[in-house]
Amino acid sequence: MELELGLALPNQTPMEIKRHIKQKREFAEALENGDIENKKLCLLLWSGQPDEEDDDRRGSQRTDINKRINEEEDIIVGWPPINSVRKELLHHHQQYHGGNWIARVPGRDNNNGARNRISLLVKVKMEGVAIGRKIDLRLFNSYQALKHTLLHMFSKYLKIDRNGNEYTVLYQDKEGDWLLAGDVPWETFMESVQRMEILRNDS
Amino acid sequence: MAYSFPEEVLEYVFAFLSSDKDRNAVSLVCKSWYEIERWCRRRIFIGNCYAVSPQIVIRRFPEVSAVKIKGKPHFADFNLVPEGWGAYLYPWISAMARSYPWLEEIKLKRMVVTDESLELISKSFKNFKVLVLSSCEGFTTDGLASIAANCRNLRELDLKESEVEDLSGHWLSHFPDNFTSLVSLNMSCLGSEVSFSALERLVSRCPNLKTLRLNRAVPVEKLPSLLRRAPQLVEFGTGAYSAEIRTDIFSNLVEAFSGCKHLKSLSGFWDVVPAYLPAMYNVCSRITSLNLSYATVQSPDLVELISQCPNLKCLWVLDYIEDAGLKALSSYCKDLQELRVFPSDPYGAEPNVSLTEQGLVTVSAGCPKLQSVLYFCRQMSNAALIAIARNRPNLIRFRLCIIEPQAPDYLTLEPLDTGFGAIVEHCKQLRRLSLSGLLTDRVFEYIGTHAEKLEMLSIAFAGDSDLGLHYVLSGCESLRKLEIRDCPFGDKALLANAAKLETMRSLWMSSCSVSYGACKLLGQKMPRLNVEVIDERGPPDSRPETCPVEKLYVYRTVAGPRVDKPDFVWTMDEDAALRLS
Repeated sequence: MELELGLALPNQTPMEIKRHIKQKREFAEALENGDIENKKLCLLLWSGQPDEEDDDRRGSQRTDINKRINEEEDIIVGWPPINSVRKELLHHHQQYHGGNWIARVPGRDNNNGARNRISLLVKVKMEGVAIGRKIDLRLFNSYQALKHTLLHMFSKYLKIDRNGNEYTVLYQDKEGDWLLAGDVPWETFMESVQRMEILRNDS
Repeated sequence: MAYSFPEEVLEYVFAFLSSDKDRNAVSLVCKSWYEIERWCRRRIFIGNCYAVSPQIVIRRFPEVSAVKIKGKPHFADFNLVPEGWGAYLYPWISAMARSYPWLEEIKLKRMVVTDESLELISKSFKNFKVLVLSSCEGFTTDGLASIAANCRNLRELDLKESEVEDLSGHWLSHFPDNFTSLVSLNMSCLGSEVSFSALERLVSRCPNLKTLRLNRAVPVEKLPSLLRRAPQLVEFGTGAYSAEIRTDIFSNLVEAFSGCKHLKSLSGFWDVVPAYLPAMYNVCSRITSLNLSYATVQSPDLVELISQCPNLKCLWVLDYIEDAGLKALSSYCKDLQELRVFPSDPYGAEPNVSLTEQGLVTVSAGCPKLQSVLYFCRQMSNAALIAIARNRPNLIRFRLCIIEPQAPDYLTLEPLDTGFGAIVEHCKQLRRLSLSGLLTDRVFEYIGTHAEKLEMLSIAFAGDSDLGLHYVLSGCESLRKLEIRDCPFGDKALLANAAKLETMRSLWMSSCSVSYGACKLLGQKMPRLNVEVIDERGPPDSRPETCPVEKLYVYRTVAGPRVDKPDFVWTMDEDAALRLS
């Protein structure tokens, strides 16, 4: 009798087991002529009660999530769940109307990926601020817009003069040299920038 | 003991069965019904392109005219699936080009489509009619040019929200001068400007054109010309809806819209200048669907517009509508069935609009037919969720996104377990649910117990332990798709419920606590599942077995492990399977 094959957890009723079987049959390709598997599909007999291990893990898991949110540059990939069409639209709007907006477009680190993924994430550190940020440079087309957004971004950590006259933006290029942002044409900058830093002028 | 009807009669009867479920049921009755059914099935739906192979499909169903295929898992929309994962269309087209020369329809979602595929489609299927590319990527406007140039009987070209490399707008001009069969065109995701005169001529010569969704590059002053040429339009998407305010533009628009007596659906509205919205008031009384989710319009203007649309069934809007606007919606639009409210500033630290849980509660109270909800907000309470559940037991889809992860009930600071519990308890027809906010294992107990019709569940930053996952996998009889991110769910619940996974289309788990060892075990014991470990840190073998994998994607399949995996995907126990075969 099929019911003996342990298809379900030990504490399930025959009705529930029948339901499992029904579901299995519905899934099966056309006509499996009664060739029901003899395997134990329950790979782990578990009472379903949390045990001490879980308690420990529960605590540390919660911390892990918090760590990811608070520590690592303030980023949660793919959250809130908005698709790229909408994200680009929001960015377009924010660029012209201000706002504290940062792109979250992770990809793999090789930028020579397929054409349609546009992402150039670089780390930005501000002097005096412990937490660095990441920014997607492909969503800007001028130093002006970039600087404006950077200062907005960091203004929640330090009181910043909104004109940004007291700050210098530096970037590290492919050779590892630190250069002043704004000296070379934007396209050249985009090709070589690896990371950025914002320094106060009086330091 | 009469032996039922002759084949021809059965075939005739089966032709009345359109749902896949019914046809699948019919094919299980006996061998001869299976045979008859497979020869007369014309429409195929493949919910996961890797659950089956083109060869298997073609072998079973030799005479197909319409195919719908879905590729990447849903979380790919939020960049959780690394690029290059898979879901390539080409192998399907190449196989179907040989076997289905009379294929008429291809509808795809989250597939990687190349120009090569598009060209092959355009040249292989002489009677090709419908191409829908929803959230697809990998192709350019050159591919569209092939379709336009070669598909003489094309009726529908819908690019939905695909990512197209936009080389130029020239593709549109490839529709031949004697091409007149167009019924539906959606190019709203494209950036480049198309030749406006080519567009005008296309619209003029296609008398059956019912759906026209323009892209942002078409300015508002050009709309009247198009509308005048297509007064039969039922669905219309504007381009950028902004211009210097001029009375002649405005009056042209009014006149042009007035001529469209059949318009039911409006969309587009990028860069809206509110002063131009009243130009549409003449058609609003017939409007049933309104997509204002690109329109950065403030609440009072939105309310003005919505108050003219008493027959509205579906509204997509930004949170600029605010609680006040939703209150107005609930009083003007009693036929409302679907509401989606998107965030205008999701990454800002502080709320920029006055939209709270109250707006949704009001709509749930005032709109008796409301069945489908997608709502982004910044605060929620159990009381609100309970009220919504009691008001609207007819909800079918409920997706709530509280922007701050793990945000508690803002009034009591408790988890939102009881609120979502009320949703699943009262809304017995609920098929889709997305959770957010602070949630413990308890909410999953409620869901497992009550959500009998639930087919798709999305979970993020929730739960305390494996028990949460266990409740879901051991309950939820109708569950087909489960997607989880950043939850403390691990090996135990997964392995204890391995059988469940064969009854589902797929399971996605990322940033959880499932170990490599458990994945291997699952892959070994369940040969009809593909257990894919997706890990960009390098081979899982190079780390201890207890180490959690980055991402796990498990799906049932009759096609075995796939052969097009990138270097960051491993199918568990593929080697053993190959050895045994």
